[in-house]
Amino acid sequence: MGLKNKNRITTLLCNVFIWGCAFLCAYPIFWMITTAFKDRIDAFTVPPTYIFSPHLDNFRAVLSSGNFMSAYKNSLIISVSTCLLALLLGIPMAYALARYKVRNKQGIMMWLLSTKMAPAILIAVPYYMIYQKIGLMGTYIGMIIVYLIFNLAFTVWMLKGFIESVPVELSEAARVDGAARLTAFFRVEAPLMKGGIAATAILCFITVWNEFLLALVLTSFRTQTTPVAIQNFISFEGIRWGEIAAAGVLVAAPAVILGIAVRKYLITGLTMGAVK
Amino acid sequence: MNKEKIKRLVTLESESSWKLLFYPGRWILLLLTMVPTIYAFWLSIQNYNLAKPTQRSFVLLRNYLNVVTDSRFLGALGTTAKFTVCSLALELVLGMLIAHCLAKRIYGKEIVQIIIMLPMIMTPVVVGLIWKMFYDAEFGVISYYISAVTGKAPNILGESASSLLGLIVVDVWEWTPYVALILLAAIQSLPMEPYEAVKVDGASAVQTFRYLTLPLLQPAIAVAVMFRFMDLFKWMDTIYIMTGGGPGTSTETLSYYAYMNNFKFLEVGYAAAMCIVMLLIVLFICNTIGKKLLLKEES
Repeated sequence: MGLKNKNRITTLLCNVFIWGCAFLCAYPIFWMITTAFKDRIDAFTVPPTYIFSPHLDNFRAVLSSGNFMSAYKNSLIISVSTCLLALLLGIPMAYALARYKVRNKQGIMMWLLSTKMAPAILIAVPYYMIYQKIGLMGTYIGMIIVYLIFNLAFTVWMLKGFIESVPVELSEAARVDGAARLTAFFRVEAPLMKGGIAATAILCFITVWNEFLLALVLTSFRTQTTPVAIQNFISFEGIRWGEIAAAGVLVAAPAVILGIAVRKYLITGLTMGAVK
Repeated sequence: MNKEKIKRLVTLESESSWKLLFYPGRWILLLLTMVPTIYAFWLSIQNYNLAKPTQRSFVLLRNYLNVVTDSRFLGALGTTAKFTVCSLALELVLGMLIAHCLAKRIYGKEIVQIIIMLPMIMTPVVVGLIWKMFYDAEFGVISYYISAVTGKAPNILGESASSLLGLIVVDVWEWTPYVALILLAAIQSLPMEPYEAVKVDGASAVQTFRYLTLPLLQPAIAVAVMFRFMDLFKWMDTIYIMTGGGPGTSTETLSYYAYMNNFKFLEVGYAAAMCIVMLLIVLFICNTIGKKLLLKEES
């Protein structure tokens, strides 16, 4: 009886602790969302109020500033293009590493990992000089190129794992029936790893969408992405917290929604497949 | 015959088809990483300030010597080390606690897991902005609650004594869930048998954790440490948004100091030398720890 009670108390304590942590995780986000709907007086009330009449002025102000909308468009163009390009180059690379006898596979995987691990500032400094010389400064293509460096390696690591998880016998069976290996990939293996490919693409999208430093130094006013644009709200507008919060909601929403959608793969992705 | 060979190659039937699949991506990635690295090295052996282009000259390894004797660089190294060790330690302890609790019966587990995931998928710049508002000395929520207790509103990011602590709190908030979820995945795949055996032997909970769980979780802990270390080492988004390295240089990390040299002081050659030094550190860590951890199954 003592043991049972002890177990019950442990479970209760764990629940309290976990829900406490969940509250701490959620509170800043909850606070940002409510601030986005407050007018200026409510936003600056001390102590913070939780009862107020919500209104959409902040969102209207953010959306009507053409600057922010064009940044949103830039972010979309750059993120989606990087994803597609990374998949286009990454799927064949991953397939080669997963299914063929490739010499020094370990060395190749480590090399890929090291490109992913390099601090962004290492990329920013030389690329800043190179782009000014060859005229890629402030262009979409320039941004897609630098983001490809980080995401191609990630894509290959992720997809290699997914391809290996499809039993090789399935494609061999199709080949016995006369299909070429290429056909077998599209007919048998690709459909089975659709989920994995989608998750990889989404994680790639989130990485690019959230990136700040490279966007800060390599984009121009016309091609700046949302993380850069939102930071301009501070300097240009003083401290209009309501508007910053509204912009924050709009910037974070796609990343958060997509992240929740692929939550099963999130940890696998963030550890390059080291944790399944 | 030749046509047949090409057909086999293109339909991926040939032994050497992998080259066709692998080489385009490899060459592109090699080009995109090697060219800037070589170029950075080329810059790093020059005395080159963008504001004084006429005084450009070759100085060989002088920049490197200056880097390792630059007190501001060493200060930044110290800040990076302090920040990395403190954040990592807190994230590991809290993450371990959360992971163990999450492995138990939790009401609304699915929802809790989604909520706990939110900080790490949020855009880091937005995270920085939220906390900047929280810490604001006049209107910030945190300053308000602290002043309610102590009677004095602190200026957390404005004092060099507390600014780094303020940033550590933000990092712990943002990344503890990540560590917790890595450890949770490992806990859920722990084998049952040793625990039953230990129970029969009458080991206490602390003993079980110390001598059984901890060794079994060691690979997962190592993965978490390495990936967090890599991120903490290059960390600068939040600093840029929240403190700008200040007050003074109290929150200036290596990445941020290199950024300042290149984009504010325009000392391109010096910044490049600093980048090469950082690259060597990363490569060293990758090759020693990373190889052991991530490629176990391959060998």
